[in-house]
Amino acid sequence: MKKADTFEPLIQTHVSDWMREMWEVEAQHPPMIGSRLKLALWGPLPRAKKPKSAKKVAKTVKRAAAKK
Amino acid sequence: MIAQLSIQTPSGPQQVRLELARMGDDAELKKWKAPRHHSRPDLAADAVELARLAGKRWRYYLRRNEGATSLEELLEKTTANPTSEIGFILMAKAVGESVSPTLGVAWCRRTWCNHLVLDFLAVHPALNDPVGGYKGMGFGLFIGIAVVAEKLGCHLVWGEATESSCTFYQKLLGGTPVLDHFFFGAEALDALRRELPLRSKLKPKSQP
Repeated sequence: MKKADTFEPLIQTHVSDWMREMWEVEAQHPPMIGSRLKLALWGPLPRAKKPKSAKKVAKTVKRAAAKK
Repeated sequence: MIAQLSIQTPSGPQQVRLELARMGDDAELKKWKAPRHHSRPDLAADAVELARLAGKRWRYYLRRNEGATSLEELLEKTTANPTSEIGFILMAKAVGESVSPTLGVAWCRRTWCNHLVLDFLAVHPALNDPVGGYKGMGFGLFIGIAVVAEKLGCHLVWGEATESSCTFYQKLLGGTPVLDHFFFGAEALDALRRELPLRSKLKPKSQP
């Protein structure tokens, strides 16, 4: 069953001068807005590759230990 | 439904219903396409892109349970947690035949301190052609935002204006200079709401 509207809607009965004026303004200057910043819209970012230097660091540590 | 108003079309007035987007309504936004003939193809492309981005943002908020699909839900969520950020889409749906069932869309966020942020406002590409003969959809959407603000007890609506839209918002604010941001305070929101009377005021009072 469709839920009844709790709120009373507002109904336009006439077009005021201000409204007509704004219509003309809108026709020449579109009111559209929005940022194209797409961050956080697409879900998680792709996984970063493991740094290659990790192996090198481990090898250096091993060599240093062997020298001792 | 929040409000019903009329916009101007080449064939005369068109009735438009303003309501909060429900589950599945965003599918209509994906159908927006730039018409073949448009005096400003850049505006048509903007409308398509902004509507899709608004839909994406809305779905993201819904997944996090931070979105609302009706005015009742919006009020319930903000009452349950007064500092929560809740997002919603205000949609303009055509009454009767039209170029598209959905004619305009506005993505808003109710912030932690009970202000409204307008992140996206887009009008169907067929309606934003300066020589197309359609007028008033953007203005109508802003009236709807003012009505939602009143229901939330919210006294400020703000947003980021673009180079092409700043003149519209400046005129809407009665000439207050607008650059890349606008603030609609209580007085400006009241002026917008006064454009539409309540349905009950149109009917004769019934006898008890």
